[in-house]
Amino acid sequence: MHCDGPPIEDLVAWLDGELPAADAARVAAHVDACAACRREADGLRRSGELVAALPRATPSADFAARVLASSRAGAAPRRGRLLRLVPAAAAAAAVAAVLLWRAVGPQRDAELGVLTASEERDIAADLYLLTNLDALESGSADELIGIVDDLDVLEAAEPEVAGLYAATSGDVR
Amino acid sequence: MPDDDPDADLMLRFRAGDEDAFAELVRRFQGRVVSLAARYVGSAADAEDVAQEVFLRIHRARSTYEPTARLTTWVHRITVNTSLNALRRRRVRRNVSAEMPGRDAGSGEPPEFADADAARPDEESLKVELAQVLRRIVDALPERQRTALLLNKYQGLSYEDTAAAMELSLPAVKSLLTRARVNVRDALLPYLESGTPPA
Ligand SMILES: [Zn+2]
Repeated sequence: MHCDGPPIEDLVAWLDGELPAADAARVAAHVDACAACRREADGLRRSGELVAALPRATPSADFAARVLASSRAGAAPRRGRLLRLVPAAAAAAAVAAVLLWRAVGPQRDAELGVLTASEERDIAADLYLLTNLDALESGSADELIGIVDDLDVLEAAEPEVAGLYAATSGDVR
Repeated sequence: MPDDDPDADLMLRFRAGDEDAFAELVRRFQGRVVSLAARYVGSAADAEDVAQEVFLRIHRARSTYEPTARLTTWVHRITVNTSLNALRRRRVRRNVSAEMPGRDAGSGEPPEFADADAARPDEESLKVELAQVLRRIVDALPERQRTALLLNKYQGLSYEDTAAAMELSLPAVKSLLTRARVNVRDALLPYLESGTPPA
């Protein structure tokens, strides 16, 4: 289907105006002379144009005002947050939950035994969200931000989580 | 800060604590942030929730902003990350709800992206149908292909800015964009030829 001319990456970059001038001239000359590449380029161009033309959401008229009001509220120290777990403790609890799930969960199998560190971190984050489901559903911006903050900490805490895992896994397995 | 950044001055004022600069930043980026978020989370209402979170994160993180990055790549990076987090939350909630009768999970399919064209009949319907098919095709792309394609083609970021926003190398982004374009083209071909949406 594709000829021995320009690699398809160059064809796409040419369509996108992302090739240096000399390369662009070379690709243009080839496409001019090669019907197969012309057809290829037409389809690729169209796929880009269609994605560019996907519908756009328009923010509500009061969107900016709501953001500014929240940012002013958020600038003050947050009070009354629903989440009282210290992030490290939350991570530990989540890892413990993973381990417990592995030990007694109905789906314990070979698949679960080979989770990568990043998969474990995802599970820990999911479990953390799960334990804070009510806060998520109540949906106030302040609480959501708190959860996101804690998640960020959790996601940044890979070595810590891995360490906790290493420290406790021997007992469970 | 790159001196070709049209938002450079705005960002400097914002970093220095100028709240008017933040208001200007929100006005300047709100359309792009809400539109991109909507491509991930589906409905305009959910997209505004995500966008609000994006701007609050920007507000809180202003001091950590690296002046070496263009403001637009930074805003886009935060928008993508926040949108993906929102999708993950939705997935967790849905998984939990499926096992807990009484909790309203919503359906498995994300709500149709509401847009002004959707209500128009007849001559517009083919366009609307094509947009829906295309949305499903883009949604089905591997995560990084989808993000690269949306940043480059939908948001109009250059390859270089797309790479910066995704924290990837330029060759990696070129490769992702090529695969994304080929995948979209191949998925659309049968539809464009026969008028039948791909299964
Ligand atoms: Zn050729």
